[in-house]
Amino acid sequence: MKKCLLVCSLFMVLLLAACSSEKAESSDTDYPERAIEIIVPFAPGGSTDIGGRILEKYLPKYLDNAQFVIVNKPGGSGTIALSDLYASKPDGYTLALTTHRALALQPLYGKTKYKHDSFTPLAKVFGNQQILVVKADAPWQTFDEWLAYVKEHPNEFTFGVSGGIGGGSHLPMAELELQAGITVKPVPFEGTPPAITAILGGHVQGAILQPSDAKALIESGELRAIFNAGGVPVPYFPDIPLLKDQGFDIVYDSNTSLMAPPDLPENIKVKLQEAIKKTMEDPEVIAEFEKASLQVQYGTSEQVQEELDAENEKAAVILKELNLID
Amino acid sequence: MIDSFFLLLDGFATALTWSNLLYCFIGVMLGMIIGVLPGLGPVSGTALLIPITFGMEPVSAIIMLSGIFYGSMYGGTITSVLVNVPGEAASVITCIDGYEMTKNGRAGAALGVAAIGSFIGGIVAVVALTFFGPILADVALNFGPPEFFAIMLLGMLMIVALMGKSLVRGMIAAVLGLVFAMIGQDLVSGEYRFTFGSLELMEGIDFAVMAMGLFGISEILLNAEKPTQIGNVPKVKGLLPRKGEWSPTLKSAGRGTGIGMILGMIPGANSIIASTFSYMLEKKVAKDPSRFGKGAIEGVAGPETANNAHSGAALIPLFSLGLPSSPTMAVILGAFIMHGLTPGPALFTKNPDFVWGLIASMFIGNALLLILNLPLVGMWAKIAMIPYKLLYPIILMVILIGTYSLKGSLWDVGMMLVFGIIGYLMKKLDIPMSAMIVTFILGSQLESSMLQSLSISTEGFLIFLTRPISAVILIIAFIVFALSIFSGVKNKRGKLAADVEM
Repeated sequence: MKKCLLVCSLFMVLLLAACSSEKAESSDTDYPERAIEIIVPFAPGGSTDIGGRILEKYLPKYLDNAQFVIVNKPGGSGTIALSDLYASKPDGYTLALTTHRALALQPLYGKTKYKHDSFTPLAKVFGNQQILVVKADAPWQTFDEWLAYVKEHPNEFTFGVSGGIGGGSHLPMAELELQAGITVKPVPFEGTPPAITAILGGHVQGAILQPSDAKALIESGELRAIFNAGGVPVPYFPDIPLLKDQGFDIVYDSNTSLMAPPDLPENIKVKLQEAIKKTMEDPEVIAEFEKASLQVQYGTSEQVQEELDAENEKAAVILKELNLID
Repeated sequence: MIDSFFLLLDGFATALTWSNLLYCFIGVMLGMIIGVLPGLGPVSGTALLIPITFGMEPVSAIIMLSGIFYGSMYGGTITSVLVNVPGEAASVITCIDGYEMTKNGRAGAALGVAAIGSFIGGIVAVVALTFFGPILADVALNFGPPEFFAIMLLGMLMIVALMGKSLVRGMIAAVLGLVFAMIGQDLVSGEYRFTFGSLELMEGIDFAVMAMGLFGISEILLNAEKPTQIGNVPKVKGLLPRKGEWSPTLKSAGRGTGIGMILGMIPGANSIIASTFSYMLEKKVAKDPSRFGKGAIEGVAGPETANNAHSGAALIPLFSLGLPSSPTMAVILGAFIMHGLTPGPALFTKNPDFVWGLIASMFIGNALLLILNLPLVGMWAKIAMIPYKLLYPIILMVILIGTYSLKGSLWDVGMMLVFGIIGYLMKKLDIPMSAMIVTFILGSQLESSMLQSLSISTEGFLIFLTRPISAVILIIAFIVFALSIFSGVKNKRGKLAADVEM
């Protein structure tokens, strides 16, 4: 009886070992052997979705013609999609294309299972800045004129923020308020278009938004940009002054990266990273991104994690200041 | 304006090429199918097809995507009328009288009227877009948060029209709707309310999830209760309105067009508001309001016209300002951008072929829809004759899949079923569901526009009275309110008295 048990258990162990080695082998050489899902945590038609669909089209060229599928999982400011990614198998068949905000900010509220450093970053793919725009007939032509005005008139300047107080477009101004000693009035809107509508109608005086959202209206002279809260100038509007050049320690980019679940096997990670890098260097891809007003900004996985850490740390301070977290 | 006319003729030259005509046809056809399938609305429909348009000419791509958008408005009506499941959000209101008409064997007439009304609304809105687009867009910008608040408040007061016999039951429904609207993040403080720690509730409850459960599932449950009694409509009578109905139908289509267009031009006012307002107006002006909710043809004609006029007019802010007024518009805006076109003030001057080609295609598309729909009405209406034991399982499956397809989330499916049970209980208790769903829709905008107004205001609540447009709307709201109280007092067997009777 004992012998039988021993043989049985030995057999089981061998079987298990056989299974695991086979699995390791298959993921080693055969990846990818089925379609790869890219979860987009936002609704179709937005900039993340558009970028994702460009990647969906060109990534196969550099990854053995693997099929990619975009899956939109909007909701909970990106947390639903990221929670899904967190729970999914790290086999390289589930990835997510997500803004850094959803990753770095949302865990601070303590409702998500994941932390800002839970995932395996693959690469940063595109970037965007945040700018303050005002209506073209506003009295302020330059950043200094605007700053002088808000200093003299505390609590008068109204500006639209999309996604509510404590959201990504509120934080740069909240930080400027602290550093420049000004007070302004945020007016929350559901999304950027209603905020722009309110500026054009003269209901609010300005709004913080991404330059791509206001490109046409700035070019046609309906809106004017006052400052850029990002780390780099806007390629198509290089003249907007950067806050960090004006003597403020404020850098709020809104970058977008490809992420994989925690503990992605190294070989799959390397394979994916190589494919992404080659895709992002393809002139055809760059042209597609430019056509969609998205700025290609390739960054390695280490860079992505550094940016996430920095944003998480900064946001924690500001959100405490705003009494949104303890 | 003469210029516009000639440019429009040029546009027809673009739109009438064989390939663009084909894309327009494919677009409206797909749109109709998408509209028919519950859950799969114009937002996901257009988004799914964006990748296909990659290789197409920009003008053909946008012609097809816009076709899907207004085509789905036609299609959404079909399921609302036949099986009481709104195919897309704007058709919720159509369920109220449309489904009643089907029960009376008049599905054909309901669908016919909807098709004709949709055509009228669609065409008039496109004409307005053609000749007055930029001017109208500027006027619409005067609507800021305080004006929105006033409109929403007026809407809230008008829901009395949806309340059925009992004021108390109506109020219960209205308050329930408002409570559900509060779930999710509060924009102003950034706090999460009533989410009970669940990530899924952070963004509130999806309207489509609620509507499919409340209307569709509850209907199935209610019918499952009495399997022996279920008899089908014996025969579909007439595809067109009766002789005496033409004049009131066309009048309500006219009013619906006006309401739909005005609300369509204001960025942010969605099509459900347009159809709700139209329904309320029809009930107010009708000589015998008691017919509403029992299959009044005006209750189908008005709202259906309004939601199609709205979808045409919604292109005005998109074209002239680059501002999407609804989620579907946002997807179409995404498609513009992907094809290297930037909607905005410069679009008319920079890409005139494109703009006028698209506008011309909308004339053609609306005509195609009418031609396609009238002969199909007879066929669709026969669905109402399928035995219930076959029809309901199919509907149940389609609703389940439709809900799942919204976001790919089982949570939504569960929540939809919960709303089905809530809807069933409400029907049992005779609490009007439409009042609940309308306050649910208006509630979140009512709250956010009030809070936005107050953050802008330097004089507190006075902002609503110092701004002329909002002041006028609020005065109208006050008069409506006063009149309903007056008529309630005058009529001794008024709404409160009805409670005792039931």
